[in-house]
Amino acid sequence: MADDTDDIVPAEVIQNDQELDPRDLGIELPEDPQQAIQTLLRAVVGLRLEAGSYLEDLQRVAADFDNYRKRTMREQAQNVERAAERVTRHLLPVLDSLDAALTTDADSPSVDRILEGVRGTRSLLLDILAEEGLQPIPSVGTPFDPTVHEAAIAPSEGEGALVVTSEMRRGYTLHGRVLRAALVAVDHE
Amino acid sequence: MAKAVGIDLGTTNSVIATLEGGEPTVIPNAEGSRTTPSVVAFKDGEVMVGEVAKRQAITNPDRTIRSVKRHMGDSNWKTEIEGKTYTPQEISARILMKLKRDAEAFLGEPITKAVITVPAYFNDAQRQATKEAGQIAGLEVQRIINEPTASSLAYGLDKEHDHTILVFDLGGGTFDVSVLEIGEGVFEVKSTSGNTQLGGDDWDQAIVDWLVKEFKNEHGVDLSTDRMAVQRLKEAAEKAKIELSQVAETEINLPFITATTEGPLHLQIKLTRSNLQKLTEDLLAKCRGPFEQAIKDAGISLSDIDDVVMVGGSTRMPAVQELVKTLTGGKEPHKGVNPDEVVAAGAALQAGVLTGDVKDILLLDVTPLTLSIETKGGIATRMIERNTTIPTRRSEIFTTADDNQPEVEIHVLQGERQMASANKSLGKFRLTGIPPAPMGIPQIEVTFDIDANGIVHVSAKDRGTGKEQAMTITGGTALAADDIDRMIHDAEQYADEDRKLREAAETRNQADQLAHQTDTLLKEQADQLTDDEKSAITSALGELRTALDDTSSTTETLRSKIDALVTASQALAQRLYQQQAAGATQPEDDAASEDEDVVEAEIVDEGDE
Repeated sequence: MADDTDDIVPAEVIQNDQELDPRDLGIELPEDPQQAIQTLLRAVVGLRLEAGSYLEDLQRVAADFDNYRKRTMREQAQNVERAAERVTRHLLPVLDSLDAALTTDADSPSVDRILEGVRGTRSLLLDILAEEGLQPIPSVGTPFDPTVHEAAIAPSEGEGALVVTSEMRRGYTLHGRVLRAALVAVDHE
Repeated sequence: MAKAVGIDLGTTNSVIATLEGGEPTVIPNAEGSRTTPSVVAFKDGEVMVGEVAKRQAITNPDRTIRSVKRHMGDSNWKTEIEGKTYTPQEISARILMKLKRDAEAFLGEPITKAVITVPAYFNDAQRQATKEAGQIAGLEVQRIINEPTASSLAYGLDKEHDHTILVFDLGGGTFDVSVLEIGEGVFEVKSTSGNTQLGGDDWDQAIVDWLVKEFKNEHGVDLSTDRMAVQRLKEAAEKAKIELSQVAETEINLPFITATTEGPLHLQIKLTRSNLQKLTEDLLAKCRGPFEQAIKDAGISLSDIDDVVMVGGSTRMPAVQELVKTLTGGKEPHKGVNPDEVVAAGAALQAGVLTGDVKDILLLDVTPLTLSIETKGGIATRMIERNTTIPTRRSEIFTTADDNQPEVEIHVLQGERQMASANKSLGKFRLTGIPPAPMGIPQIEVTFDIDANGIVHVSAKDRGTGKEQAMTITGGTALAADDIDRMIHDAEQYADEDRKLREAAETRNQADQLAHQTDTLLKEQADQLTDDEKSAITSALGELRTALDDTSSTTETLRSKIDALVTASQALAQRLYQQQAAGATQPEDDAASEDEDVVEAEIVDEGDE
């Protein structure tokens, strides 16, 4: 019967001039030619309906996927905003601290204390960022590694492995991924 | 089946994209970037590609190769590294290998087939070399296509007939203008022109030069010799350029940019869009020549141009967009695809067509406008949002607005406005024979189903009786583009007004519901009330009713009456709750509802233990 799909020969293996035996296709045909034609026509109608319903299912799945993709993109944009909101909130104490620094009387001889405050503010900021997963990239004295270091100055002529000799700008990783490579000078060991 | 990819193998940067559900998607590399620098470096037998190769370039200049694309097809160009000779295609293959490897890791499946893009002016040898690069990288290159063709594909222009397309491609380091003609699904490059040494980087450099000059004038310090300062200037310049695509003025702020014996120095300067345009006038002017040349070589006049496609991040600059608009006689360019990724996106689409991933029967439409039904107070309640891909289906449960309401009307609307009356009516029908029940109790399931041909089937079913009514709208989504634009525009224009109307309707609904609930409460709890309470509630209720009956009542008036009634009933509600919580000692004549009894019993049991 038509349900016995295992027995049905796939269309691609049928040769143009090949004579088909209905039994190979899982179809039982009546002896009478007129009835046989009717049976075949019914089978054609059935298969058309089936193909139509499969196509519709396929289109619906494709449309569902597309709508899902659109929704995911919208949600992703919202998530990015929400993540920014959280980090921004954590950063507000840094802003407060800088605002407070600016209220310092310009005439007061307190450069030391202002510097101390700046240092404190920096360490506050670093703590907040560290909580978010920020890590400074070790540089001076370590072997030059272009996955985390960006060489800014050409080394002198010579041989031997390259090491970082100075750091012009610190690099950072966020959750282990390079956020910004360290800008460094390198030379031969 | 292995995924097919499209690769934009660029002079400075490369991009790889694939199709996901028929849509081009750029695949990020292992470092998480959507573009990979086209830089290859060799060091002690190790090969580095992309950002890593770039970072070590200065330490390893002889074995770091940039812009190898400029040498493709040149049989004389060879580079010897660590005893081995490399051809341009072998170097390019390294870039392709990284793109392939990272994309395979990202997708979790092997990539074997690719469409790679080349500039329209590439000759046979250059195309052949690009194909070889793909083969060396282990890719079956299904086709080499022109970059402007790929960008046109990304905008679906292959569906057009006898169109002339102008592609304006201003990348990081190269500039190309091409004129294409599309006929019977085949693109023909009519002309191409450009400047291989012009790109967005030049705009950044112009800003950096200006900053250095201004700073020197003010402080007498030359920042251009300070490597760290230059790095900060470059980044700030690029940021300012990008910001000036959105706003007319930006501030470049680099505190502690340098220090002298006098102390630290800060750079703080405003840059306006018109200022930037003055600084880069000469760069913009350089775009003009190749444009005019391309038009001339194609043998067309400006009015022949049907479509304009912009490629490359630098085409985001308003000055560039204006220039193109002026040059093309006011043509609006196609928008929507990221100009940095449009070439790779088009290549991925081509790859999809070649592997049979793109099937015409799955080129699905979207609903151009939102479909809603009218609910109490004339509100348009959205069922299927605009731009939803069809076929799609959505069901929602609604209920009655009045006690013993025998029927509901389903009024189907199309449009973006919040109130039913402002939208287009597509039709209405009634579901009758709803058995008598208090308002809010019957469950009417309304289902919208749009098939692949845009035909909308709306049905309403009373879940209680199983009774169903349905309607089919055939011409529903067939609106002229102008009408759709107007309706969307109207919705934006009247958004505020609509919001107020909707709020008014919702407040009215809320007032109505509260009045009804209070009625029930008064009836059911009559003996629990003191006369004072009763008269307070009754009078507040009366006032709310009066306000409701008066159609000219403002939202504020209704709100204050709602608040007054809630306050008046609060004492009663609180006492009822306390009595119930206090215990079963007090006989309950008239249970509020079965649900509340259950809650009560639970609390008492806990108290007894």
